[in-house]
Amino acid sequence: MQGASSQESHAGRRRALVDAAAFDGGWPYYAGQASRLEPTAWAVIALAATSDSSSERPVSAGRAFLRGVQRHDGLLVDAGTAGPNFAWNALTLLADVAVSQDDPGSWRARLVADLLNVRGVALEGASADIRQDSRLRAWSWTAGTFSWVEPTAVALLALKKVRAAGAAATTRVTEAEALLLDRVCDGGGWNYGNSQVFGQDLRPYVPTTALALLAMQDRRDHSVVTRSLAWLIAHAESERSAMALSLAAICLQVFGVPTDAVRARLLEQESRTGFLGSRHLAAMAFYALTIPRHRARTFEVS
Amino acid sequence: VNVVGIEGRSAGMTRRAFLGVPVAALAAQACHGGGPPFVASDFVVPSHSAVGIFPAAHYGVDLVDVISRGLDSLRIDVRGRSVLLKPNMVEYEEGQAINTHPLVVVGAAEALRRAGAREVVVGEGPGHRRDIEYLLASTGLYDHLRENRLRFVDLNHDDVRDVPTRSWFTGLRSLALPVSVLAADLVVSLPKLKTHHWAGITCSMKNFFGVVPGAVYGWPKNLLHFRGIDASILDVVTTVRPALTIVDGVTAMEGDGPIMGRARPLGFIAMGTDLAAVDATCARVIGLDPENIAYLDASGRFLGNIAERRIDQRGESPERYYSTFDVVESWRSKRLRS
Repeated sequence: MQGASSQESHAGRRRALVDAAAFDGGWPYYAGQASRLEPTAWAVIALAATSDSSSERPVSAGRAFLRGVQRHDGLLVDAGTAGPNFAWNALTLLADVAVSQDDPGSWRARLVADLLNVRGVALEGASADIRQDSRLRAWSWTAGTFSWVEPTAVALLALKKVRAAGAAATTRVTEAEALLLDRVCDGGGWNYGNSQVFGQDLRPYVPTTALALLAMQDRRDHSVVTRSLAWLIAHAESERSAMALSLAAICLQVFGVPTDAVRARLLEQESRTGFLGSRHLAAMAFYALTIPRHRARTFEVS
Repeated sequence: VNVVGIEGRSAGMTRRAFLGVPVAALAAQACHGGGPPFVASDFVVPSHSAVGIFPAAHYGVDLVDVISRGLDSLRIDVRGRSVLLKPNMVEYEEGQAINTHPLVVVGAAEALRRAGAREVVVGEGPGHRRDIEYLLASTGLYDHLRENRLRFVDLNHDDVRDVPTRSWFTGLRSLALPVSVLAADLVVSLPKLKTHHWAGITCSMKNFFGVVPGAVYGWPKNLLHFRGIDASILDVVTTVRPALTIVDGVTAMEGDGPIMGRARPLGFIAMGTDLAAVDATCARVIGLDPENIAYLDASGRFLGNIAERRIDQRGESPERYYSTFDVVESWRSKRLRS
């Protein structure tokens, strides 16, 4: 996978990603659409990790786009939408750090402060039909709703990556970890939400498990983490999509597990679906396919 | 502009009638100034609504023909119109009847094309799994779409536009909706008939949770759950204004739906322009009383006809398919048949 033809393919993927940028510096989910936070963050992460002279300008423009949509309260909001998506805010934090450790204008500091302020809603006296502690509060997708695995995992990972410090950060990290531990499925791994409803165990999924493991990478001796990593290793190729295979490869790399087989599947998937023409999925896949070059350090917590 | 909208309003509906049970609980959430949470003159319910039940014993039958006959029978005119088909895709489990069958999706698309639709696209924004590529590929829909040259729109990640809601049972006065949904002349629901552990039944109306973009509202469209599933169904449906529904009742789901239930063959395609009437008919078929399903009961008071006497049946008699579906414990006492 690392031969000359592979390098040429990567150059083609990088060129396609650079060409997909919009005039405002951001990336849309699909061609012809408005630039949005999530695809822009993934494009910046992918191009920054594989930087060459052709990608310096789009990375810098992408970062400027992301920084340009910050509200006065520190959070970022996609144009045309009513409020912030906290998962995309956290992902953007990872993208910004991937470009540079510098934080001009304290942009990142304000984003971290506000991410620490937002919390999912607790459900007191929640239904006995669901086996979980619904009082735990971590991150929801949007304001005023319940905490879910994916936004919690991305926010937790981002805060660990930027080494958010202080009492507030410690409290939030502790509660977010507690939530992820509470939501783990019986055999390891994570569903997007509950682990059991109406007496039926729900099954884990590859993308959510990979994200939760990335968020818990500094707790790798915990039995939930070891069990979930074993589940991911066993199922990493089971969900054929750019999202599942890319996140699986990134996670396995961070945990020191070989990723060749998963990346090979990702190439097959690219041939089969072209990732539906999604810029966002193409960026994720480009990052995962180039893991031998950058070792997925953007997602590594030291 | 929808060619066949949910039009009309129920003349002479009183506040007392509207605030019936269980509608009262819905209405109380959002009543402003003591009135119902919608402008009554925006909704006109016809005196009768046609609902077609057309046999389709299995997915191997000619579904294009079945649906074409349904369009003829219901006199649906789609000539020159752009159509967005909204199937129900939630999660994938091999052998489970969770999603609208791909052959129903492409069968409906082809039938609408033959009936003269200018353009047919398929759009979905899954409420649980946001990995649309995985869902399309694993369910087989991806291959069918390619084979039939059908464009797919990922509604979770489409551009959005904020539009005022036409009712506000949730208290929401606007919703950010995908531009592809707003731009279509005709929005067609293509649901899978399933029990739903919270709402009772998921069919034509509940299917529209999938047009609410996850990139804006998160997963599993959590804002809608917080605002109340029944209330949200009403506000989304009144705002999207679907024109037609084509229900995959070939193999339905019973038990702990909409995900963990069991496949239950029924052998029909249900169709109609009044989504409340179609869903009420499907509820009766599976043994549930529409008046015990909060959003259907509320719909029957301003949006469509749910009373049997106001539904004109086309095709087969629904009685032929009457069954008693297994449901979760909380719904057992609400069944029509034991």
